Amino acid sequence: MLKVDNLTVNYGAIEAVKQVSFNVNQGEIVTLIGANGAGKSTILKTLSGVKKAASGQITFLDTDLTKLSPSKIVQAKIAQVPEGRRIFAGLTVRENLQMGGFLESKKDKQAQLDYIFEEFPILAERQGQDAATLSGGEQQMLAMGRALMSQPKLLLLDEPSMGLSPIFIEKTFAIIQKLNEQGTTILLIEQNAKTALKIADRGYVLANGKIKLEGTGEELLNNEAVQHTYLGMM
Amino acid sequence: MDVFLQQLVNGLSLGSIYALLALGYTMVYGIIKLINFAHGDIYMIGAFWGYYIINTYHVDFFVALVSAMVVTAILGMVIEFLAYRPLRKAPRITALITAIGVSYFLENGMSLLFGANTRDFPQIITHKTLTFMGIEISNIQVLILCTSIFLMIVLQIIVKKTKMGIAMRAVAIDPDAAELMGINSNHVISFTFGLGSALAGAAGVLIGLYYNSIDPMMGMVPGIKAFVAAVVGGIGSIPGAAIGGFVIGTLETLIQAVGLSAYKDAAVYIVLILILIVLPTGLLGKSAKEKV
Ligand SMILES: Nc1ncnc2c1ncn2[C@@H]1O[C@H](COP(=O)(O)OP(=O)(O)OP(=O)(O)O)[C@@H](O)[C@H]1O
Ligand SMILES: [Mg+2]
Repeated sequence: MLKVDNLTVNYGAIEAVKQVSFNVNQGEIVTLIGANGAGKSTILKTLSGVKKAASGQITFLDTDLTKLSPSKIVQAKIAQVPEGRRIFAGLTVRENLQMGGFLESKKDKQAQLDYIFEEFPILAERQGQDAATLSGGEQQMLAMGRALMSQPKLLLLDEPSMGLSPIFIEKTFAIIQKLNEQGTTILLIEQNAKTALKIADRGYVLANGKIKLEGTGEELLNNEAVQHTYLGMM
Repeated sequence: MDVFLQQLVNGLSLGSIYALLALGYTMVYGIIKLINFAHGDIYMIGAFWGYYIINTYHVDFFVALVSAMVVTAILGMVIEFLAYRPLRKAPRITALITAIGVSYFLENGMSLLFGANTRDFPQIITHKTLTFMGIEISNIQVLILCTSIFLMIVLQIIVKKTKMGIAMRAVAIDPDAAELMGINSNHVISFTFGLGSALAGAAGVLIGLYYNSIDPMMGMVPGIKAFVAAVVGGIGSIPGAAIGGFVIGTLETLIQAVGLSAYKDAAVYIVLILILIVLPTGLLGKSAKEKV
């Protein structure tokens, strides 16, 4: 479904992502794990078109994404929940969701809004409230709901568990699995490597902008190097 | 007391014009953090358009107003596209200096094409004075006040209720996140310039009717005062700009009423300085720490 080939991304002279290749198949949950500064967010930004690739190819359902604008990529049905959630503080919960469906028709937007209010009752309850007043966990629900407004086929999640309590982390991962069962393909970035690998079909380990390891979730969970470096086991 | 109320009425009419102008400053600042120094000149173009179309086609007030709004909206969007968009990633000072350049260009361009002289704005509405509890209100003042308030209500509805209006606020809050939603920030910025410029164009026609005379430099001082109004209200805040406009207009006429005409402009700047010292974020502005 998504195929990344030899992707290189720079910030000025800094090579943040070096010759990275990976792929995501339809229906999978794939996770990218790696330490701070490994280049994970940069990869997602490039997938969404807000950062331009220096070289390499990104193919999504036969379209090359590297030349497309962010709005064309949303139209191609890729949505992102960015790092730190980035909800629009000052807009209401409902307005935030409406912005997530900016490119959708009125009818689709309404249908999707109904679906999200059903999945996340808390958002329905708080729909008229300033999004900034939501708790961290609620904001994460909102950020996911907002991304789902565009009815993505591929959902990119950048550290959704960041800053959440264990209960909310569990809830977030449960939602991710549920979305996946309903047919959304997931590319998940996580610091919380253990939980991510548990729900993932496959994973890639990124270090210093390069892919170091790849395998099924289970293989990586049992890999000694991974255990040592990312799971905090000796 | 009557004198005071009389000046209050005069102040509110003038203030509503400043308010219309201040709204454009504040919206553009809110979205691209640019103080658009050419904004006062858009208002001048609005007045000249009104002058031209009334004299040439003998249209009524409504047609003059609406067509001026359309023309200035287009002009605002063209200026944004040609002058400011290429500088989107440049340091802020570059765009600021460009705005001053655009302002000179419009002022001197109009002087060159049509002459720098002052001309009489065609009076399409016969002056009538209504006396109400000892206060004299001209029908023009009523028209200015009603038109401005109507336009502000329409603006509020656009900003609060429409898709583009919500997108405007979203881009102002977090342009990167807005981009991830598929919102094209260039379209939204262009829309913002169009909206702000249309209000300036309307203000230009209204001032033509009120003061009766127009010239290519007419936008300079009101432009600065409207900017002060936007800062007083809290730059970036739409209701703040409206309130700031009324405050500055009223202040100016009251200062004149007590015989200090010579100091009316100075008073406006004193208010600016005081506000910046006492309440740097303005009456309704967000404090910096709210922005995470
Ligand atoms: N805007 C930027 N300008 C310059 N360098 C940047 C910028 N954004 C990221 N970088 C650099 O690129 C590298 C990769 O950053 P990236 O944000 O992709 O890492 P990450 O894997 O998401 O890390 P984290 O887990 O901390 O979120 C880092 O060295 C970072 O310093
Ligand atoms: Mg990151």
